[in-house]
Amino acid sequence: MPNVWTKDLIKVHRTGKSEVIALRGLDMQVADSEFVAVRGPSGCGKTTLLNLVGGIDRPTAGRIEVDGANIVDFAEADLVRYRRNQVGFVFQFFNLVPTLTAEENIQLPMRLAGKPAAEMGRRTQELIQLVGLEKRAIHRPDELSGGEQQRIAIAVSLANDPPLVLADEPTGELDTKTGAEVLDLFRRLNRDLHKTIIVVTHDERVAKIAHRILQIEDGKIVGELPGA
Amino acid sequence: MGLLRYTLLDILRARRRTLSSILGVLLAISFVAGTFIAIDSSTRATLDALLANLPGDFGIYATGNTADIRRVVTNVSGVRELSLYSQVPAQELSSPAVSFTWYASVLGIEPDHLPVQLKDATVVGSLDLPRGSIGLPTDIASGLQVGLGDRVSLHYRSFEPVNQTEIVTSLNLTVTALLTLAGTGGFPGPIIGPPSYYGPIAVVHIRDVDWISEQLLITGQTYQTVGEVWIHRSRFIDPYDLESTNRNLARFERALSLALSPYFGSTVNNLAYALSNYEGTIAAQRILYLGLSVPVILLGLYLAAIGVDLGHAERRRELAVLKARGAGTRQVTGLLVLEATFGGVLAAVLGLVLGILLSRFLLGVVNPFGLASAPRYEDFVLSAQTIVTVSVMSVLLMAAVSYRSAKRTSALPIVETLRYYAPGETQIPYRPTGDIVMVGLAATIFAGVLYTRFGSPGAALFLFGIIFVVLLPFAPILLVIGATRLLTRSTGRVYEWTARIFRPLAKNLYHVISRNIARNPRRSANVAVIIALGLAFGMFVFATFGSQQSYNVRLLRDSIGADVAAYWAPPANDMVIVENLSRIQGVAGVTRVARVPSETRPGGATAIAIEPAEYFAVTQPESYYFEEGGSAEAASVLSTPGRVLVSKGYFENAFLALGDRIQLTTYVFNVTSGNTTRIDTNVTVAGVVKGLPGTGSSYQWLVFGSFGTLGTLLPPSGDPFRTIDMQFFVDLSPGADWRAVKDAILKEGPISVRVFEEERAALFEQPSQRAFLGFIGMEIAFVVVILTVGLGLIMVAATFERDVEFAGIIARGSSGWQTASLLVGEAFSIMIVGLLVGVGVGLVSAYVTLQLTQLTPPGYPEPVVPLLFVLAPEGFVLIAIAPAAMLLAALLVSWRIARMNVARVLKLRGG
Repeated sequence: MPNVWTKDLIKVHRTGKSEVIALRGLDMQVADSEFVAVRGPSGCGKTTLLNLVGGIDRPTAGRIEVDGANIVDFAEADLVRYRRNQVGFVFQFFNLVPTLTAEENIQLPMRLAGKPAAEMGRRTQELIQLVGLEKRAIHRPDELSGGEQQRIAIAVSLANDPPLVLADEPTGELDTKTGAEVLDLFRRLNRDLHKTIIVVTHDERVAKIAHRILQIEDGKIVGELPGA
Repeated sequence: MGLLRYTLLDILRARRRTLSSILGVLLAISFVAGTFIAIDSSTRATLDALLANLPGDFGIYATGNTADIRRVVTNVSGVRELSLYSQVPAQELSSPAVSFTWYASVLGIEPDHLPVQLKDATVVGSLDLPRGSIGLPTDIASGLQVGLGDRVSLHYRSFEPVNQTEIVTSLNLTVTALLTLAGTGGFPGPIIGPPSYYGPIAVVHIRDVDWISEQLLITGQTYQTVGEVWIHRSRFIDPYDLESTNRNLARFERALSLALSPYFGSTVNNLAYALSNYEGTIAAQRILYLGLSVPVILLGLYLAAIGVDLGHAERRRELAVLKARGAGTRQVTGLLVLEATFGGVLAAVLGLVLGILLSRFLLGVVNPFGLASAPRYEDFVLSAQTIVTVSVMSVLLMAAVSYRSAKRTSALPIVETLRYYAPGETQIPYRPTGDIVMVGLAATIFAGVLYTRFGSPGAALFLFGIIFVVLLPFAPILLVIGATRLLTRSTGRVYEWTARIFRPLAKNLYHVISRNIARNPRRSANVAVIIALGLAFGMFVFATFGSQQSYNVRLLRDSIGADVAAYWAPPANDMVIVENLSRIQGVAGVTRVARVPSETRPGGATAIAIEPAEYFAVTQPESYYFEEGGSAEAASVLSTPGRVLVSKGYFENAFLALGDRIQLTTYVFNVTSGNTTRIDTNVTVAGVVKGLPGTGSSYQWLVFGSFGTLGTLLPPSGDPFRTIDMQFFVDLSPGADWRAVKDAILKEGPISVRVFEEERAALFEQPSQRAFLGFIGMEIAFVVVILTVGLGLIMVAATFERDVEFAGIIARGSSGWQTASLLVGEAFSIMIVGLLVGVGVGLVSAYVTLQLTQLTPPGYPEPVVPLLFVLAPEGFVLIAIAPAAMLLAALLVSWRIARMNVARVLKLRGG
């Protein structure tokens, strides 16, 4: 099971002549099957941290170890495999493929991994049931509500059964009730499937289900609060 | 393979995006498919045209009784028509009215089965041709000064070797028919077999050939009977199955040979030869029209590049997520290229369907050969070759167009792409080096051609200049693309200037227009390039066409000389002819122009006698004929006895100067005394002209003098022993019916009559020119379709990408139409750039290309008739229509924005 560990993590965004230091030597550790919430003001580096741990961006300096492997040293092909098999990403704006149905969206990561059709079918049904959307499986994203889209997005992130799930403001675009449903789903993923979950959020309710809450300011972790 | 399904699903479900991606290639492929289908569907008509004007489907030669030969040939299954003729071995004709003889091939014909050359002849009298009668061509009858009912003598000369004497036998025949042969239209190429007659043709009945030979005491000579055999072509020829056709024809020829074998017969298969060229002709048509379709293909490619780029941009977030979920960069690239390839297949299918529709409009313009009045077209023919060519082209074009965009899109960093605007998209580094090279190269090519034309290079440099000539077709394309990209991508100022033009409509939002365009400079540049390429092509065609047409008409006028030019066989009484012509209703003036038979010193020039006042009044020469002054000055010079004008070519190459003396000499042979008298006339060079209408090109060395000055060199009117080459120019009254005038002139018995209006109309009716211009016209119409429909749909696709942006602007206080004006303003700004570059490059390219037609090797004189740069009226229409159509498309697209439901667009929350 993964053990996520960052040391002296630095990320500088350069756009034209300007530089923004998003992370200033961030140290973090997340244990196996731990549910960690990351909070902080806008622009503090929360999303950047998630992007780096998720392998979709590279740090300027520092170290990120996931399950003992320093992903900073990964070649592009290794990162691809990492994103495919080790990490499931849940985005704020769902980011489902608009031309695919719900179950086709779920199958997509498995297709990328080259899974056989039978296994894809079985796993898809499993995940559809997990998120409780059996009756919406053949609908496309524009036919789903925001909550349904986010639940499908969560199912997509679990398609290849990654041990680590990263969620960036998963309830940011949802109303209170729907957000609560999604958070409950995350809780079940952690409790029942033992997924290590790191959630970036402003949602106060996450504190009730997360094991720990990390406070980030100016690109560094400045505090830690106990969770549920 | 796992992503194959994803690829197909995306293509089939995202129909709008798929359509905008494949649209450019679809339009290009439709045009190519339509052209090929039209060629295939007009194959039968093409074959008919190739087989027209054959001197028989088969030719035969045989010796024997004509009736028997006719019987055995017409009994061969498949024979539709047979025309037999036999040549009389005598050719010399004379009449009591003239003292010299004329020569003609005397053919024995079957009046009910005329040979092909006589089928369309105009006959005065009757072709029944009873024994002792003859039919004469009008020019020979005129020369012999005989008409219907008059007698002519047919002579046969033989040599008696023992006594070393020439024996002449004669037979009197009565003229019962006068023939004027129609133009044959020319054969499609060298032919084997009949006709075996040349020159003027006189006719007798074929049954009288032996009788005439007996009367002329012709022995030991037997000309074969020649025949033109026509078959039921539909039974033997299938243009879509040449193998069977050739087999059928070979079997028929064998049957024909067998039937003729008792008559020492032989056959010639004219059809086989024509058909041997047929497949090559069709292949050449395809290649030619594919080449002519390059502008549409190029435009389609650019449009496709925009459409593909838009599709990829619309999906960049989705593709970034795909990469976040584990897709590699190569997988994403492969996915996008695979989608494009499937799109190519889809475009091929749709393109073939659209091509079938389009082919109906292209049927009449893909055949450069003469067509029958009712050409036989198929409903449509879709050949395997067309399907394969179109499909391969479509797939390759789509793959080629999408590859760069796919690579670029798939290489975008994931995290940047997940943001709303990917900075990498708006800050694409631009390196102008390539565009500068393109513009420089184009300018060098144009300069090279112009220098070769105007710079008087030596022979070596002239040959070097041919390189620029070969490269010339690429220059406009290089210039359009390079100049447009330089203007639109190296600086944003161009858009600021063009946006200012739109300020009255956009008001406070005008400055946003240039910013918006600059946000995606690559796409804006591509749109401007499409507009510029389309307009450049159109302007090039209309300027070249207009200039060339105008030039051809002026060349024609120079060739004829006046409204009408007529020529009588010498010796003709020219004063009587002038008087008769002047009396014809509709004639405003008549003048004589004669080539004076003489030698000149300095040598090599031809003397032309004209009537100064009448000549210039009738011919009304343009100013470019004169080096200095005009018609009045020239007439004044020529009216003074002893003064002449010389052509510029003669003046320069004989190193003459004004005031120099030229000696003209002629020799008169006195038949009675047997003496030759020399007559000299000295004249003074009083002026120089480039040439004069109807007197020959500037390549000739010419001396122009009045009849008064050159009169001593001319034989008296009607002198039968001295003939002069004299033409009669006629000026028509305003509004006169040239047909009526021509008919009236023909009654005076000229050998030829040329009417300017008639030949000008025929200029535009040449099958090859009609087909070429028709095809180019269709292509330009299609270019306008690409500019409107194509760019319009691309604009629609582009707005989907910016829905939230527009909704935000509206939410901040702008009205729907104000916001829509941004789109129109952007389209307008880009259109202005494309318009200026396209029109400019098109006209410059046309000008340089036209100079090529005036290219003469070093030392050669300039042609008299200059090639003036003229833009056909359709060019102005295109300058108005193309941008107007584009703006209309932009307006229609903007209508959607104006009616946008802001709340729905901005609503992002689930529920």
